[in-house]
Amino acid sequence: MPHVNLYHHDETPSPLQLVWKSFRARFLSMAALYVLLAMILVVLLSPLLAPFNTSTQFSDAIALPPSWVESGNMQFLFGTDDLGRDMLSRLLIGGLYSLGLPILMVAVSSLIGMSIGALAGIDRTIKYQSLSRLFDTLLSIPSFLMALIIIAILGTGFNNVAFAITLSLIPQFIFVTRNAVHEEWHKDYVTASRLNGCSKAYLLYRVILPNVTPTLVMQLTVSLSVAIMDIAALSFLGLGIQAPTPEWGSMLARSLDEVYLSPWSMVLPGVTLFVTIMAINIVGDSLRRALKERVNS
Amino acid sequence: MSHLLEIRNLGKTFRSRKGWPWTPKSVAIEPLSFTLEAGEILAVMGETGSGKSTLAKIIGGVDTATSGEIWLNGQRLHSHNYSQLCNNVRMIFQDSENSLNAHLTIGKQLEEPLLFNTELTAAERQERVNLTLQRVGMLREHWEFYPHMLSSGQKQRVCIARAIILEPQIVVADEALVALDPSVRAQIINLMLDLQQDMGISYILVTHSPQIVKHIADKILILYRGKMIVFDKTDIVLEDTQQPYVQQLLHEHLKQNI
Repeated sequence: MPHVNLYHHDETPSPLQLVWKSFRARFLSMAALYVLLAMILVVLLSPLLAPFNTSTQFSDAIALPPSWVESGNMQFLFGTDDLGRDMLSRLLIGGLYSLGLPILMVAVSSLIGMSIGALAGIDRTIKYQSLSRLFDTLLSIPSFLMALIIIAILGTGFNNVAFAITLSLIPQFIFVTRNAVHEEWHKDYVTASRLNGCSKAYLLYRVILPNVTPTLVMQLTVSLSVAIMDIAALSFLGLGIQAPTPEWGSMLARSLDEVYLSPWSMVLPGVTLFVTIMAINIVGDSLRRALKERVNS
Repeated sequence: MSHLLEIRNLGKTFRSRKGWPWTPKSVAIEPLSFTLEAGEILAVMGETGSGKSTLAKIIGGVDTATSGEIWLNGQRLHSHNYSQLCNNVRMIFQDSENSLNAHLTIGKQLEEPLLFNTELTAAERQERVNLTLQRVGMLREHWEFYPHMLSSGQKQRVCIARAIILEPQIVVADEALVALDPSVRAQIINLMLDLQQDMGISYILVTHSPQIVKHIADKILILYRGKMIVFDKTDIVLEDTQQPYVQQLLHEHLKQNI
């Protein structure tokens, strides 16, 4: 016998579910979210999807326009660059460095930044305070400039760039987390939980964390777009991911020389970068809007 | 014989944030002593800023006193010893809106004190929460509810449920009835009186309302600028009020009626 639900059961959405509900109700935010998720999926699967090796040079197909142009070739969907390398493969694999790497960097820096920030928000002892204030002074330097300084000290190269950008993202996370946690810490419900005899870990994870989650998620989206911009900008300047490795920023820089001959080699990575950052920013913005709606209602 | 609650020379001073180390500390409560017996209702009154909330917070364990001792059943109560504290003294906050966690269900929040102070299993905890919810006149279905789905009177009931779930001896209510409309306030007062009879709870009520005090309080403690100026049985205080300040606090509402 099939299970029949005879009684009307009221749903009891949690506040976080309510935020999600109002986020979902807006077409633009969902579209941006789907674009972003699709991007991430494609980037993760790129080693399987890429039709050619990124460094294989097809000498018979140098600077071939994309396939939808009359002189194009279906074999090379997005055409080839001035050395005869397949643009589609380079864009796909490039995504690993331009989108995959920033996600990884944001994950690492948020982990470090949020833990320090949470400790500094709860524990007002001099140890954590001085640590978080030290990082606060670093906030006065723009994150890109800081990454530049770190690279100037360490030298260019894949590891150094990843390290520099990760490090430059940390202060923002500490600042946001500390302020959010500290603000919640003095509210009555936390005091009430403290008087319940809750352990500090329980207070942090079960009591405070759900209340600061939206703020932290918003900071994650901001940091992700900053990280993508930073790594693209560094590579564009020739300080980031080095030449043979495909990266959207370095592809843009390379295309500067032949922009009149093969405009697609500039437009394609540019558009990809634009769509990615746009999607992330719209998601972050919609999240802020959804939160505001919930507070107002 | 030891008293249920004995306050000895309890005082509180604090330094303002802008102050230098050598500026004198401002005094919130000058050292005061009083006792409370089991099943008694003590009303703490005083004008705004007289330190009555601070006193409630210190007894409830939110703040620590700068001097003096709190003795409970002949045992010294140490600040930040939360397990000793919350099995005996519980606090109801002024603002029920903010004292409930918006992101946890009512059931989870009521389970919290049980989780940390008892050895009950999950099923027993649920049973206890359901019983307590029914005791304050709510339904077991409210377990699933989030605070934003409840009215302010219901929230106040949840706060009371949270205070009594560990079956404490003393409940400190810091102006817990101010934000409620008169009918709900009457309901909540009756609820508190019922619970007092069932469980033998002593209350420390911080309140502005002379009507409530006359109606339910056994003893009155009146603070004036951090000093305890009156501490006696309610009828004695009501009959014998020479001090204009006390008279003003206790009889002001009568003048308005004339």
